Amino acid sequence: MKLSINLLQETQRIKGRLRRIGLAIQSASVVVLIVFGVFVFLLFSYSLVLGRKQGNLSKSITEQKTVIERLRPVEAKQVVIHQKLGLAGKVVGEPSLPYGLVSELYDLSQGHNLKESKVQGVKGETAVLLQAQADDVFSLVSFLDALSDFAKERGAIRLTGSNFTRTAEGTYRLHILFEIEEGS
Amino acid sequence: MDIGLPSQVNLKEVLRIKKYLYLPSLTVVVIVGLLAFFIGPTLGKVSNLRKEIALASGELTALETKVEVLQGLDESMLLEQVGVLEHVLPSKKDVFGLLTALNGLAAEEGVALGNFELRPGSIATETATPSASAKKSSEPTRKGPASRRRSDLESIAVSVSVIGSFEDVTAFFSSVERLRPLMRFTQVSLSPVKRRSVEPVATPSATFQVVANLGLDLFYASLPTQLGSASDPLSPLSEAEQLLYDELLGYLSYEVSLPSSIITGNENLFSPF
Repeated sequence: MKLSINLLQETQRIKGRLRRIGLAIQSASVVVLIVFGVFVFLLFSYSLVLGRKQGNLSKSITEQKTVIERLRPVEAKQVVIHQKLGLAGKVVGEPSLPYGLVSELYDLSQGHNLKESKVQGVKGETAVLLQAQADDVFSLVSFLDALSDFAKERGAIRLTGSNFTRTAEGTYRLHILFEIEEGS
Repeated sequence: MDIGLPSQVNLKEVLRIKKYLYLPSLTVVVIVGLLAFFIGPTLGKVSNLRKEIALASGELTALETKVEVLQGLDESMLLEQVGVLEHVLPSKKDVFGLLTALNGLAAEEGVALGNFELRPGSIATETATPSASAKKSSEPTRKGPASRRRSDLESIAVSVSVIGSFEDVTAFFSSVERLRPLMRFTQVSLSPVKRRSVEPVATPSATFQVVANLGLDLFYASLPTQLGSASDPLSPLSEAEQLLYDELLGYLSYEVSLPSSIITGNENLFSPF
């Protein structure tokens, strides 16, 4: 049996198919080129815009700095005011030495006829030292009672008698530490 | 891509359509070139520009705010505030101001001052003496008793005795820490005036007189030596600062009025009279 095959038609068909594929690739390339072109154009434009914006910002910054330089004397005064107020605030905000307590203790000792009273407060220490001399034991006891009440009233932490001495003349010398809370 | 070529098809025939591949090849070359030589660097540049713009925008906003603050300040009022604060916290060791203030207060409260002792350390402020500054920087934690330093705050130690009635002396106490220049008690002691020390206070009620030995810290703060850059932020006075200023404004101030001109004779040597 004789079989004939027309290869020409098949070749033409394949050629046509390849041509279509080639055209499709070409078209896709053109599209890609256009898209890339647009992208490059947009990117370039954007970088130009950004460059321009940066230039404008630099110009504005320079202008503002010029204005600030012109206002330097005003700024200097304001800086000094800030500095002084900050430091003054530290001083004013520090807890003060309890000079009121010193006065009150002295007044208390005088109210009970104690002699040679000396009341001393030192900054940074939470105790006020009272030194005095009582003529007799009655004055001493009376003062200690009053001091105990006063300590309760003032919320003292501790009341320490560091030294009680009876002298040859029959008087009593006393050293008392009146301790208060820090900052009170 | 499977284009399904039968084995009988001549490959040479197929390669005749290579003309369709020129443009895609060129496209690939162009894209690679653009990516390598334009898009990549430009994207990097754009990214940097965006960062710089963000920073510059922030700086500009800060500068505009600062200009706004500066333009909103009243220079004459600032000058007045600086004057008041210089009196409150002098920029140098203001011993004269201290004496004036203590004397003024003593006169007002009716007490007498005595045994004034000052331990100023160096007469010049620390910032004015290079040797003192060098020593200070080499020994940052060492603090002398006469001139103490709390961060930027410096003080000189003063001791003074106050003699007067108990009431007057306690009134003096309560006002000392509300004086200009600022001072703080470091030590307070109260004792009765002894007979031999009564003489300077010759009053009939001498037995009720008390003597107070006071230790005081007089504060001063050197002026800032540098102002900082233009972009450093500056704020108006906060509410707390304004309140503090108002409080300090109410502090007692005593000033000595000095004659504006002292006649010393003929000042013009060429004038006959």
